[in-house]
Amino acid sequence: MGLFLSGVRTQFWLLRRQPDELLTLCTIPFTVVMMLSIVMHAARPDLVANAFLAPTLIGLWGFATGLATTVLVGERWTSTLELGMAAPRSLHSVYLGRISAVMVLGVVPLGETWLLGELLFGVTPAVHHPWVFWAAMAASVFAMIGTSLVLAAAMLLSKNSNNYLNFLSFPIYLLSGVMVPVQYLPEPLQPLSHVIFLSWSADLMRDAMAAPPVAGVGWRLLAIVGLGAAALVGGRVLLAATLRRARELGAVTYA
Amino acid sequence: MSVRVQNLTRTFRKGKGWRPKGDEVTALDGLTLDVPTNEVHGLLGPNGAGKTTLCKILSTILLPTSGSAEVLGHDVVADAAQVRQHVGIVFGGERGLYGKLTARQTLRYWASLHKIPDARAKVRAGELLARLGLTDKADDLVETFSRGMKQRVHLARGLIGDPKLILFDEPTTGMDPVAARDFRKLIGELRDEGRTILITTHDMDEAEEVCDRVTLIDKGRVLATESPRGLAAMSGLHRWVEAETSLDVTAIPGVVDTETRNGVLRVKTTDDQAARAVLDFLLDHGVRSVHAVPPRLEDVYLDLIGRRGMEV
Repeated sequence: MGLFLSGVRTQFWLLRRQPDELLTLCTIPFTVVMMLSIVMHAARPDLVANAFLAPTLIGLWGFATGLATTVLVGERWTSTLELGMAAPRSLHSVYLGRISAVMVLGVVPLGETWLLGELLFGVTPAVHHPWVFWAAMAASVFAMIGTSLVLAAAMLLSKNSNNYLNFLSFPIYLLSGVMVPVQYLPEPLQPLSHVIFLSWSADLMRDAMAAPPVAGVGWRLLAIVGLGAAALVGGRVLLAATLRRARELGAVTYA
Repeated sequence: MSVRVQNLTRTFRKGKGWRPKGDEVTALDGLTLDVPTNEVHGLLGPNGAGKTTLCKILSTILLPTSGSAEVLGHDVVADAAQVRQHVGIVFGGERGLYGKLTARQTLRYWASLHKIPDARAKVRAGELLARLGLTDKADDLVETFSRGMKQRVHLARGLIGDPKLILFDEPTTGMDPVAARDFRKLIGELRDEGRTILITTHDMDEAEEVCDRVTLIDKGRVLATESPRGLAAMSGLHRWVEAETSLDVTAIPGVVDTETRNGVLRVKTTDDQAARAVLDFLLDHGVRSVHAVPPRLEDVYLDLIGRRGMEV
């Protein structure tokens, strides 16, 4: 079995016995109720797609910051990181596998959102271009894996990583256009949004749900995948640099 | 030679940031050590002596600041990948385990990090679990295990890659006497298989029982390397007397120190004459169980390092 798949399998073994790690799924209903209540109360059926997309992508991001990004920090706490550093094979693949396993579960909020929308509000949004929608979702999961690897490696640099993770929630939701389309943000902020892959994901998925033909599907998907690939490469480089630094400074454990 | 360490220095800097610039702390200070193949070698020293730092450098977890360290002829910096294939490291206590994995899953995970194909990993995990008496608990979560059982999982994990050099970092921490005895038996078996073993420990009895040679380390430097018996002979002119008594002998000229353990008084004296004076005193007071005894490893340790207790 490849090291990547070993990482995936191990993470599923761990998650199966730690259902509390899936706490993000418990926050989704609150976001769904909030978003859909606003839209329904305002009688704005044109915004239903936004109300469904926000909890879906917030859930995906929540899995990244709440679980995937903390994989390495957890390894550091349990001293399994230093044992891994003494193992013959590269840690990169096994940790990438573990992060990927978490992010595959990041698709669950999509189903949860749709189900809650139907059960609580009797609303199911139309998806006029399902292939585009699913392609955008798949690309987003891929990009989120890369982003999580970067964040996970970066979290090893700090002993107070949770503080940084808290910052990576609401500001990102706004900047990425998950809650409000990017074009409604102040102009100076918009270029910043374009380097966050979620802004491309949110726009493309929103367009995929609307009736008009979706323009530029190829290059927009490429943008998501490209940003994800860049993050994967960056994550690998940062992880190697971080582990090298830990070996040099003796900062492998918290002890 | 399995381990060759020459003039090894490791310093740490306090502070924060990518490159901390705070005060420098020396963990290893020009340490030199050779461990021949197939030897069980003990590293003894107080907390902060540098034992764990040495183990981490030998297992490539840490980089040395200066000097060199070789494992089976491979440099730990230049040939780190080669070193990792031949070294197994075993911690003591709770650290280094996934409580939410079973013992079998733990071994299969670590097998994958040791380039062992999954089919072979399953077999190897089963063999190791059987060897360490964990077959019945193989599919239980590690977090439900007793301290001794967790230590056996540690051992199995350290052996999964079939290492030629095994580093034990305080392996019997928290073990009950039976588990500790089994551990010592295992050490003998591992040596019989041709492996080299380096153990850090505070347990002098353990070191005396299982080690071919021991090295005393303090403040990152080697104080002495010898067989436990040879090291005990380094205790100079001091002589020891043991007796089953509660009498106070501290007023006798030449008595350096006394200690009572399990009802047995142990008296350290300056020389033969003082030891004889203690023997005569005890016999005169009707004590019948009296012996002049050879020094123990612990006596030499205390002589060379002192009674620093918790001080580091």
